[in-house]
Amino acid sequence: MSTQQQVYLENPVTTEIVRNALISAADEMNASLARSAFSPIIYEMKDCSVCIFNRDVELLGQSAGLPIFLGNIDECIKVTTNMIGGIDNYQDGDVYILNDSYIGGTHLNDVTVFSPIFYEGELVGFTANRAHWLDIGSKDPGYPMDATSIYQEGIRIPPTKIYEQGKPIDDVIRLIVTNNRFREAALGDLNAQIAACRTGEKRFKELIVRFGIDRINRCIHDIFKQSEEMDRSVIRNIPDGVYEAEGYLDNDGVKDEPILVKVQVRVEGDYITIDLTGSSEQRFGQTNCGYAQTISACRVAFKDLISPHTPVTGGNFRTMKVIAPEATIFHAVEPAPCGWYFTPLGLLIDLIIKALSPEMKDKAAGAHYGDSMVVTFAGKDERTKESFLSVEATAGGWGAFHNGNGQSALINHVSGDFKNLPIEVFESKYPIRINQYGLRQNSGGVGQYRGGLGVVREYEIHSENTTVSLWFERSKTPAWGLFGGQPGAKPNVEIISGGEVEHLLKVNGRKVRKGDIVKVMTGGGGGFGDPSERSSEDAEKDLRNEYVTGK
Amino acid sequence: MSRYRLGVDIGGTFTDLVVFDRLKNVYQTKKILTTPHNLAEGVLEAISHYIKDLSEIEYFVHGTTSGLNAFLERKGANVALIVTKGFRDVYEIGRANRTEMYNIQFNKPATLVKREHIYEIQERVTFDGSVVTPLDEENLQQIIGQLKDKNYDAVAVCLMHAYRNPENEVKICSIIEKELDIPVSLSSDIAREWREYERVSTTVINAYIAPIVKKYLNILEKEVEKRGFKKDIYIMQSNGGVMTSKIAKRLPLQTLMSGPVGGTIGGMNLTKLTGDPNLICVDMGGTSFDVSLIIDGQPDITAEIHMEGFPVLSPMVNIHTIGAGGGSIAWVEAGGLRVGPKSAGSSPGPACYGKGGKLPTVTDANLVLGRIDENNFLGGDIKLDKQAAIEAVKSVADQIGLSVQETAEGICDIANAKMADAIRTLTVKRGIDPRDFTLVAFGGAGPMHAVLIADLLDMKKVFIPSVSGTFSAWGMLQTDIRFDTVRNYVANINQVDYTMLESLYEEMKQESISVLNQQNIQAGDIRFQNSIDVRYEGQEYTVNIVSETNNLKKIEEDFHKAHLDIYGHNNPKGSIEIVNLRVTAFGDLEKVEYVKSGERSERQAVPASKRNVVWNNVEEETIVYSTETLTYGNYFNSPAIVEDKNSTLVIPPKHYICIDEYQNIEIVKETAEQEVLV
Repeated sequence: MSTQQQVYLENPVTTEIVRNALISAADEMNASLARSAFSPIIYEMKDCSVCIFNRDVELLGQSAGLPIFLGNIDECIKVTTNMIGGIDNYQDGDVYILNDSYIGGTHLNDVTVFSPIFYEGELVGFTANRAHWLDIGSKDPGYPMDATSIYQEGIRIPPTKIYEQGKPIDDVIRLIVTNNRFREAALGDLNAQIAACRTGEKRFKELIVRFGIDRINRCIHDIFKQSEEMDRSVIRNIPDGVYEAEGYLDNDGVKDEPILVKVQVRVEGDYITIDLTGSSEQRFGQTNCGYAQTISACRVAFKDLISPHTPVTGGNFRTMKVIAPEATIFHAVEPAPCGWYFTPLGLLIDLIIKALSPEMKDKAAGAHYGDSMVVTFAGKDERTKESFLSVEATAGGWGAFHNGNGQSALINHVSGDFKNLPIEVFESKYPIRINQYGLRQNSGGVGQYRGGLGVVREYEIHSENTTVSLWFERSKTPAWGLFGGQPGAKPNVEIISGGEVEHLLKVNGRKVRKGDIVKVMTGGGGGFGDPSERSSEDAEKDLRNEYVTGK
Repeated sequence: MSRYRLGVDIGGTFTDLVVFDRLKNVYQTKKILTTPHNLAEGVLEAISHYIKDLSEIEYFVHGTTSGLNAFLERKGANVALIVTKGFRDVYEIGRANRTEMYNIQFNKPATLVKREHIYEIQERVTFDGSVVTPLDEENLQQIIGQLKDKNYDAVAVCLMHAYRNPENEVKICSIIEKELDIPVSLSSDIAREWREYERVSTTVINAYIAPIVKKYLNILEKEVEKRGFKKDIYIMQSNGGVMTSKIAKRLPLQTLMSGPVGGTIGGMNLTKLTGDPNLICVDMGGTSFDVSLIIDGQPDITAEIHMEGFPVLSPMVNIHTIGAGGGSIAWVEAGGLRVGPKSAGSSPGPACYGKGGKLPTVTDANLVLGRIDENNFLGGDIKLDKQAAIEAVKSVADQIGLSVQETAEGICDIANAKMADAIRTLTVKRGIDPRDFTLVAFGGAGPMHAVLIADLLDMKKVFIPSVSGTFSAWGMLQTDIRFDTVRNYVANINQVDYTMLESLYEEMKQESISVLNQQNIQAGDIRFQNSIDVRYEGQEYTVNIVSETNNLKKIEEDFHKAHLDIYGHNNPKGSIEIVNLRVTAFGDLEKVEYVKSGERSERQAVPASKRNVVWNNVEEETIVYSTETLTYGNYFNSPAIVEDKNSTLVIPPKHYICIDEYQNIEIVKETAEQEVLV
C-alpha cells in the first residue's frame, strides 16, 4: 500500500475514469475520420490512426486503424517543433502536414496532419492523425513496385504549415493536391483529416473542462505507470536468455535475390531488447522501412504475445529497446525508397513470435501467409472512357495455435481490420469480372492443429487497355509451423492469356488483354503440433467440408 | 366484445403483460417467469390472469424472442445455402478483417451454415442485371436431390447481383417450393442491397430462425384461437413497427430485436405524453447497458447492424450496447481499478446474493453505499447479504489503498462514467448534443444509475416511467404497422435517370401496398416515406436523406448540411452519388388514450423511511420514498431514494423531483433559483 502512494499521483478512481474517457475520445475521432474519408484505403482498410498528446507530446489516447501504427506520430511533432524553433512558435488554429518517410517511418502515401491545441491562450496539447492517400504523385499510379529511390515515390513533404491561425494557406494546399493524380479524393481526405484534428481538439477541451489539465496530467502519469508495470510483470515471467530466428523475403521487387531478416531477442529481468543487427542492408528496391516504424512493428509482436486485449498507452514499451543499425532495411536513410516498408515488417513480427515461442507456447501461433499480397489493376474503362485504379490486398491463411486451427482467409497481420472489397461493388466500379473467390484447398500446414487456408481469387479482364501489377511475397520463407506443425502452401499467381499460362509473383504494370485471366492464390498458415496427434474427428471434418481433399 | 388491448413481451427472465381494459379505463400489468421450454405457455398464462374470454380482445401485440434466442444460443435450423458457382466461400471468408488487432489466435464468428451444406449453382448475373449465364435447371435438380436426402429444415439462396436482378433467385424458389415444403429465404427478398457477404449473412440468419419462429407463431396462433381469439396477432419488429404474425413467418428476420426495441418504442410514446421530442433511452440490466435515441419523436433507425459478429442488412432501431450492468465485476490491474466488462451474471451473481459469488460487483457497491436496501431489494423478494458485499469490496480496496466506502463509490463512479461515455459515443460522434435530450431509464438497474449518469453528461432532466417494469410491453401497444423496402441504384446525382428513379419508387410502393393489404390496411390509409442513401463520390459510407419529392437539388443541399453536422466538414463542390433508394410504409393502427391520475395533490411527498447513504464520500441520512404512496403532484428534493417493486431509484443531492399526472417520476437538476423556491 505504501508503495502505491509513492508511485501514483492521483486517486485510482479518477485515473480509471480519465483512462476510459481518453480511449473513447480517440476511438470516436478515428470513427469520424474513417467514415467520412474518400479513399477505400482509409474507410475500408482503416489505414489511418489518430492520437491526442499533452503539451510534452506524451501520448494520451490513440486509436490505431492498423496495428503497426503503434505510436510513432509523436516523432513527427517533435521534429516539427525543432524545425519551427520551439514550442512557442505554435499558434492557435495552426495545422501542419508531413509525410517524410525518414521521420514518420512509413511510405510517402501516409500523410500525417496535426494541430496544436490551445486552451485559454495556453498550449495544452496536440491532436494528430495519419491516413494513407490513394496516390501521392509517384512515378506510377498508387505506388510503384520498382522504384529505386524515394524521389520516384511521390511528393515528399517536410513539416509544412497548411493552416495559420484557423485560415487555410491555399497555395500550399494547392501545391500538395496538384501533385496528386486523384485530386478530389486527396482534398476530401485532407479535409477529413483536418476535421479529425478539430474533433480531437474539441474532445480534448471537453476533457480539460471536465477534469482540469493538471489532473489529466497526473492521471496520465499513473496510467503510464500501470501500463509499464503490466509490461514488466509479463517480461519477468520469460526466462532470461537469448532467443533467435531468421527468414528471407523473396526479393525487393527490383533485384531478384533473397533478403535476410534476422532477429535476436534478449530478455534480462524485466527488460527486453530486440536486436535486428545482421538483417539485410537497405535495398535498392522499396522494401525499406524507417526506424520509427520498425519500432512500431516490434511493439506489435510484443503486444501480440503479452497483452492482446488491453489498449496501448504512452507507458507501454518503456522496457523494450529496439536496435536496428542505420542504412539497413529496418533503418532506411536517404535515398532508399520505402514504398513497401511493411513487407519486411510482416516477416519480422512472425519471427519475433517464433523466437519466443519455446517459452510462450500458449501465446504463440504458427506463421501466417505473410504479406498484403497486393493486386493492382489500372487502365481506361471502355464503357466510361475514364481511367480507373484498383488496389486490393488479398487475404490468406493464419497459423494454428495450441488449441485451435489457424483461421482461413484472414487479412495479413499489419493490415489489421482491413475489409476486402465486395465483389458486387468491385464489378460495378471496374471493367473486370471476378469468376471465383474461395478457399484454396489443401493450403494450410498440417499439424495437430491445421494452419488456415489461403484464398483463390480469379479476375477476368473486360477492357482492352489494362495493366496488372502484383506484389506477392513469402515464397522463399512460406508460413512455418511450430512444435512439429508443417508449413503452409506458398503463394502462386497465374496469368492466363489465350492458351498460355505465366506464373508471376511480382510485376509492375504488365499489360493484360480483354479476356485474360489473372488467378491469384495466397498461401496458407503454418500448422501447430505433430500431425500424428490430429484427432480423427478434426481430420474427418476437414474432409467432409473439403478443406482438405483425400489426395 | 372489444374490451381489451393487450401487449405481451417475452424477455430472458420475465414475460411481461400490459392490458388496457376499455371498460374500466385502466391499464393492468403482470410479470411472470418466462417459460423457455414452450414460450407460448408463459404468454397464455399471463393473459389468463386478466382475460378469461379471449374473444374480448380487440388487439393483441407481441414481442417475441424466439428467433433471437435460437440465433444467440445457436439452436437454429439445419440450413442449406445455395450460391452462384465460384462463390461457395463468400460466407465463410466474410470481409476477411480481424476485429481484434493484436490477437494472433483470432477466431471469426463460427458460421451458421458449414461449408458442407453450401451448394454452388451454375448461373451468373452481372452488375447491370444482365444474365450472362442462365440458371442451369438440371444442376438445380441435383441440388434438390441433396436437399431431400439431407433433410434440411430451411434453404437460403444468395446469388451474385440478385439485388439488381432477382429472376434467378425467384426461379430457384418456385422450383424448390414445388418439390419441398420448407421455407426458402431469398436474398433479394430479405436484404435487397449490394455487398454479397452482408446479404448472404442476413439471408442465412433469416433462414436459420425461420422454422423456429414459424413453429412458435403457429402454436401461439392455434392456442389463442382455441380460446376464442379470431383476429391477427401483431408482432413487434426490429424497425420499431409491427406486422401480423402471417407476415412475420415470412420475414422472421424482422422479429430479431422484437423484444429489445420495445423499450425504445415506449420512449417514443413518452414524447407524445411529455412533449419532450428528444430522448436518450437507457436500459440497464445485470450484464449490459443498452442506449437508444428518440430524435424529434422518432426512433433512431440504422440500416445495418452487427450481431454476434455477423452483419445484418435490415432497418433496425439503433441500440448501442456495452458490457456494464449490476453484475459487472470490479478488479485490479497493475494498481489500477477496473470495472467490467466481465460480469457475475445471475449465477453466481453479485457477492451479496449469497450464491457463491465472491467478486465485488456494481450491485455490491450500491449495497455498501446504502443506495439499495438489503431487506427491501426488488420489493423484498431477494434478501441481500451486506457483510458479503463489504468483504468483496474490501478485497479490492486493500489492493489499491482506499477505504471500503471510497472503493465502493469509486466502482459506481467508474461504471457511471463508462455508461456516460457510451452515450457520448452514440451522440457526440454524430454531432448530437446530449444536453438537448431527456434521459429515460428503465430495466432493473437503470433507475439506480440514471441520475448520476445524467449529471455527468450535464443533462437537465431524467424521466422514470411509471410502467418502467413493463415498459416494453406498454410501448408496443402504441405503434403502427411498418414495412421497409430498398433498391440499389448507383448514379451520380447529376446523371439520374428520372424515369428509372420513379419506376423503382413505384415498384417499392406497390410491394409495400401488397404487404400492407395483407395486414388489413387499405392503400389509401398508407403513409409513405421516401428516402435516399447518398455520399460524396468515392466514399464508402452513406448518409440517409429523407426526400418528400424527387427534388434532387434539395437532397443535395440536405446532404451537404447533414455531412457537416455529422462529420464536422463537407465539400459543397464535391460530386454526389446516390446508392440506395428506400421506401418506408406505415399503416396506422388505433391507439388508446393514456390514463391520467385523478386528483392533483400539490404537496411534499410522504417519506416511507430513512437510512444512511453515502454521497461524495459522506454518509448522510437520506429519505426513502415508495412508489406505492407517491401520487400526482407530489414533490421532494434529493438526496433521496425511491423504492419500487421492480427497481430502486437513486437520486444524488441537488435535484428536484415531482410526480406527473401519469405517475411518472420527473427529476430535474436544481439551479440556484429552484433551490430558493423549494
